[in-house]
Amino acid sequence: MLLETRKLSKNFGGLQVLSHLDISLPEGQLTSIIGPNGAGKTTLFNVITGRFPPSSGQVFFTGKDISGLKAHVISQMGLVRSFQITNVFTFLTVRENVRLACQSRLAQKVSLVKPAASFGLEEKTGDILARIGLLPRQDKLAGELSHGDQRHLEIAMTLATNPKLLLLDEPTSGMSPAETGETIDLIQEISKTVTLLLIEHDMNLVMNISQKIIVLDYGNKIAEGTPEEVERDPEVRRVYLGEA
Amino acid sequence: MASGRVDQGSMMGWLAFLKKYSGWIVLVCLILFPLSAGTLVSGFYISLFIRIFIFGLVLLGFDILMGYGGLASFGHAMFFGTGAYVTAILMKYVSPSIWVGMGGSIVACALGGLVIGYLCIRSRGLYFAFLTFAFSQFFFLFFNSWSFVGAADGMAGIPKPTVGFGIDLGNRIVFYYFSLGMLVVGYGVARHVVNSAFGRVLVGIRQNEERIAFLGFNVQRCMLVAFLLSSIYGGVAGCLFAGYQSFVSPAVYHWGLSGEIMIMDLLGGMGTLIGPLIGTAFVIYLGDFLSSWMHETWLMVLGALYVIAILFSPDGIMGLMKRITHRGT
Repeated sequence: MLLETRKLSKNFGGLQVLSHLDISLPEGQLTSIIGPNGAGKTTLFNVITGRFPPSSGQVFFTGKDISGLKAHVISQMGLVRSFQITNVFTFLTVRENVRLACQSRLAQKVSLVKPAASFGLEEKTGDILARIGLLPRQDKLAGELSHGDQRHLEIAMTLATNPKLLLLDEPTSGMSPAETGETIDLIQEISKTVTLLLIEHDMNLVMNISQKIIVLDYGNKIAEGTPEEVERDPEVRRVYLGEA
Repeated sequence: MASGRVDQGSMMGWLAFLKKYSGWIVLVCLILFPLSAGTLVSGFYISLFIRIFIFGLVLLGFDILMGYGGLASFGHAMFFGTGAYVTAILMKYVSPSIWVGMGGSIVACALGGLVIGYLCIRSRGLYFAFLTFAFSQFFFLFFNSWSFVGAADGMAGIPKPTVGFGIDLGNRIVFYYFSLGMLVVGYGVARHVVNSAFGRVLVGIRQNEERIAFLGFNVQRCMLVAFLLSSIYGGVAGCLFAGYQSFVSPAVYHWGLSGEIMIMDLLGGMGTLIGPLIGTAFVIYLGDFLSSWMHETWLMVLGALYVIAILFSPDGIMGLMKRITHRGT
């Protein structure tokens, strides 16, 4: 398994946001986590990627226990995330954003001696920008991009870090239907080369592209399986789709 | 009309030339300044410039920390003061060589910067400012009462610094060139640092610390390095200060000095290296000029200027100049 959680729990004060979650992701698949608002999806990402330590339980990545490690250490292991709220460097250009992400994987990434311009990252940066479709807007400040493009830039930055596992937190949130379609196409394209874990609250969006779906509700895993299995699950229909 | 256009064209060329080489032009002027004969070069201006060079060094380091890294220290005088006292003690009791004092200052401020930085960079914003302030107050109170260094009276009797090579550093003109040289070297190093891989990450941290961490950069370590660098700049400047004044007092640790350092950075234009140097020159010159007839109340003018700058040109003198020159083109 590429990623595995064992009895993973997180409490905030008295509130149990995740309770005893067992999740496992094999390499090479696109898995989606769905669930209504407040189900604990983003908290799960936060605990896996080291934003908060778990209250109890463990997270294993490529067989190593990464529970409680710092965010930058986990990122360097190849477990990289995007954010639900757009999180780019608004005062850097699009190209500089991606280049900085590329720089994070170099041995001399924070060298005081080596000039940043001497790394020769332009080609890789250009490739990623082209892949994401941001090449025409590469010299704009990231803050000047449309919302949809900022979300795409966010994905470009995660790709620049050569992830083994990419966690995307609602990559289509706030997008127009047209942008959403583009983004779904992009995600499918990325999933050919990178193992993906996707958070979505709109079940229909991920039905066609996911190999596996995990359904969360109030911090519990209530179902897991192929899209067809999950769709048929009476518990899912009751809790998630609001059917009796 | 045609001739007017030509004039405008050549004027633009002139401006572009000035803009491109302004740094070198200023440097050449500063080098030639003491050589210009006669009354213009009174000792007053030489000593004014020496103070500007010394504080310029402090500001270069401080700008890496606050301007590039976004960490607003309100106790930066502690490194300036440590450099000054360490140099004073070494020169008086060990060797009058400025290099001994400088070496000692760098070691002391690097160690101090590591320990204090390690403790302070865990917090951000106001808490960081308060923590650095608290540490600097500790130093102030300590040196204000330590009788070995003269307590509140300060430490006198520091010998004239020597520098080797048969050069008399006690000569004011020589010290002018020595401190200018240190400033130029300091600027070169600082410019290299902000253009380095580290410098890019530092700017990223200021803009979005969390994103930098999730890209896999160790934010705390970068912050510590920035803090350490700024401490060393403060120490070297303090060393020059002690060597020049031949006298140090606890005033070098005073929080008012920390505040002035911050104001110089903000007024000049944070995160540009050149801006803070302009801010330093501006504040020191204004302070000298105004305090000769306003005494302590000149700080009111500085305060007012500070408020005006924050309201109307938050990116300081540097930002103001950029806007003016951009309007022209």
